[in-house]
Amino acid sequence: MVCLVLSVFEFGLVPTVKAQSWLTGWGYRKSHVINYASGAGTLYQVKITCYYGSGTDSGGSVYLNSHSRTDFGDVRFTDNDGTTLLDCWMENYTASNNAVFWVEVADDLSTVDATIYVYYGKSDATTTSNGDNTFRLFDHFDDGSLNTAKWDAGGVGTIAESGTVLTITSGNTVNDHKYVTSDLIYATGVAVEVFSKTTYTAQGSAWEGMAKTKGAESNVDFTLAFYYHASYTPFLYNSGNGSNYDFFQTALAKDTSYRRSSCKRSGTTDKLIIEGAAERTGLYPTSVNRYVTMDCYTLVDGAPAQILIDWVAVRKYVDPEPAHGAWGSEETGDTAPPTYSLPATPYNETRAGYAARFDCLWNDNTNVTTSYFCTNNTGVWSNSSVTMVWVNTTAAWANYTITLNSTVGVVVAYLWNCSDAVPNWNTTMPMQTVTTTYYASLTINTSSHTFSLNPGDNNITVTEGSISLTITSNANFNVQAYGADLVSGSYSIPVGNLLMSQSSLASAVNMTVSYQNIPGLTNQASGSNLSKSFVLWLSCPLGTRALTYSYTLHVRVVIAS
Amino acid sequence: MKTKTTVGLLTVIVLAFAFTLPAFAGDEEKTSSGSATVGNAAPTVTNPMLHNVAGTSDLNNTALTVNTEYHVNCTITDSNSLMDILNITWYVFDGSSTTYASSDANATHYTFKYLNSTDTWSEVGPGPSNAHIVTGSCSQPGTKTGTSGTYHLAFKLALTANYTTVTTQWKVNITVYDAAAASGNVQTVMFAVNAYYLLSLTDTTHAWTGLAAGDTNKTLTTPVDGSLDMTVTSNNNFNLQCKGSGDLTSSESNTIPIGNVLIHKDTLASSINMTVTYANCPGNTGLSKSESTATTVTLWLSVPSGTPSGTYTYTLSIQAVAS
Repeated sequence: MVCLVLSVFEFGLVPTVKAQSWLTGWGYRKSHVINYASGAGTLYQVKITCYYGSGTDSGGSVYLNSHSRTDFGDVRFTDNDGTTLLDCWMENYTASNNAVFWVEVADDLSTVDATIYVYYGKSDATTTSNGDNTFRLFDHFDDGSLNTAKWDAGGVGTIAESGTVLTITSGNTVNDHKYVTSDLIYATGVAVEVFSKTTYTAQGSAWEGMAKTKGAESNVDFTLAFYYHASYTPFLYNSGNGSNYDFFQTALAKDTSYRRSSCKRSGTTDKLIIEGAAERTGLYPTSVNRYVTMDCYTLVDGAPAQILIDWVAVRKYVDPEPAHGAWGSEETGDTAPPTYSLPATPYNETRAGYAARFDCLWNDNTNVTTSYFCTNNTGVWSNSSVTMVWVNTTAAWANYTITLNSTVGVVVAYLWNCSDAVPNWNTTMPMQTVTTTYYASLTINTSSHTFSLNPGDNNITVTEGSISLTITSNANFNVQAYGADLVSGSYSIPVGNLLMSQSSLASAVNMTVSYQNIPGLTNQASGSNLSKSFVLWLSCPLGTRALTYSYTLHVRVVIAS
Repeated sequence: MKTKTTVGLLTVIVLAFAFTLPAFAGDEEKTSSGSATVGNAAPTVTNPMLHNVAGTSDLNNTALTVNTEYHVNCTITDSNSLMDILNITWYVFDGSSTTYASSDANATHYTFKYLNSTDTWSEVGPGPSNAHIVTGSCSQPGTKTGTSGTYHLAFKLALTANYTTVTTQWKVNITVYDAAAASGNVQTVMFAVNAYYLLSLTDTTHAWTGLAAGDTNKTLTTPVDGSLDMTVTSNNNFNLQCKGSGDLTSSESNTIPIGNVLIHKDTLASSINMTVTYANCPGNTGLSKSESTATTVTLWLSVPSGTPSGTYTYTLSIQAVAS
């Protein structure tokens, strides 16, 4: 069973080079020596089992000291330069326990030991497991139909690829033979790794391994590590050289469980093994090239054979295989999370409903990669990835712009998180707050206004007709005004002789020297560039000198209570 | 067949979405300059009244006496307040011969002015030196913030102010100006002027000496020029009249008849006999009004024969009367 690892978070920023010989962003690594083996050459696949917990590294087993992701999605292998990634495929994993990897070693293992590194400890990393890149032939049968670039199908019966399983079923008639064979034929020096099972243990015959020809049916033409037959209780091995064959009953009884099998050919040596049984060296090996084959055969009418293959991989194989050598001790990369410093003005806006940009400066000993801005501005907490503005390689401004809650007086909480490339996350920032504020802009279009009247005149309308305003307000608002006595030298007209109202004299109020609401202009709906106006009336007392009196009208916009 | 194991980092933060009192930092204030141009209202003059100095009687359309203090009151109104008043002018004039705009003269025209800015009263003419205005009796409102007030002019007519019995001949025109040169006026106060005559006798005694019984038409020996000199101030043309107190009588009660005294300005031939009642003095009739009219009265005496010697006395009275 293969476990794919998905992550909740996908961090888009790719770290730049952190330090020479270190895979940027990863927190830990161990070196491992792969001993050379004659004929192994380059691009040899070796199996390494990674354990999540702690233990003593040995052979192909390495312990990651709980520093990896529990799904092992952050495990990487590099060449001995520490940075060149090696192709690998994760055969399976058990969360928080172990994962089995096949690693394609780039160096020539024929005569010289090779050193590789296993990296781990990057919480945001997801697996890069890739069987196609790792093996000479690989198929997980997860693309919905048989890949004819890899396989040929023949015989009588059916094949179906669904999910991640290829199902091969022979026909219902005796001697119906259904097979799927690799397009390519392989010389010795390869191993066929298969994860498969059968549906029927008591009918037909089915096998997987290597065949001399496509559609071959004779035991002498097969090298098989997964082989069952209705007439035999256990799983079988088969080793044939075209003339003779070794038909061997393993100690493993047939069942319908997925079984891991390996059919390995090197030179004139066959080695066969199925999970649960001992490996056997075939008695009739051959150096003749052979195809990878998966077959079903009906022995009795109405009782077809059927096998299900989860995956197949063809890898390089020499006998003996390159052995696992020494493991280095765990090396530590960057574990320090970034640190933050909030600027004196961490946001540039407080007005409700306006766009506010929040800033935070992050520093890291290597580099900052990702920052999240978290806020309950909308009433619900949300995280948003932010754009980083680099100051240098180790410092970056995180900027994020939100439209502040449109309600005035709301305390909006926010905070920043940030990680470096490892990633080491800093989530320690205490909650910050910003209180949305009221905002209004006011333009008095009637920048000056006049009255023309005589002593004794009452309620003379301002010459301009009204005082015109343009208002932008982010909340419902009142318009208020105040004035002062109209003065000319030592003479004056009392401010109370001014009346003001939006339009109705009957509802007008006497102006005073302090702000008061203008009747008709209270609780006005918020909006932008709103046109408003109000009227002024002036009464001139008898005895008022024939002069020009002046005063200043003050108008303001305040939030409606 | 594969198993998916999802491992993720979930940060759960529970924070209050709190509200606080609205902030008013965003309040916006702007201003508009305002001005009110108050128009000028022309002042008015109302309720003009002519009073005596006590202010107790309405003398409109009555006869005034020269050189006597009278008051002309009026109400000045200005909607721009009394502070807006520039000046008030009273024209007192004989409407039969002048208008309010005529030149000042004692006989016909007087101009008095109140200046608001200094609260001063003055006589523009004829003068001199406020001769015809009683500034101490003039008054204006104590405060000028109101729109109306009473102004009092106290004046005296010159001695020669034209006499008339026509009670509408003399007029008072009151004109008020405000700071904007707007004006108002009334001309409803009218009056007559009583006649006025003032006779000043230079030669208060006269005598004949050296007379003998039987002398006729003897001229005075005192004064030596034989004539009595006098001046008359009057606002009306006049006649001089003379009379004697009775016959000239001696201490022994002898008499010379009063009729033996002839009288004329200066000519014996035109003289008339003096009586004990006033009679026009020939040559001194129809004299013109003036500040000072100089004239003479000449006397001649005839002594009847047989008149005992002695000193004879009598009193001569002279008066000016409308001609």
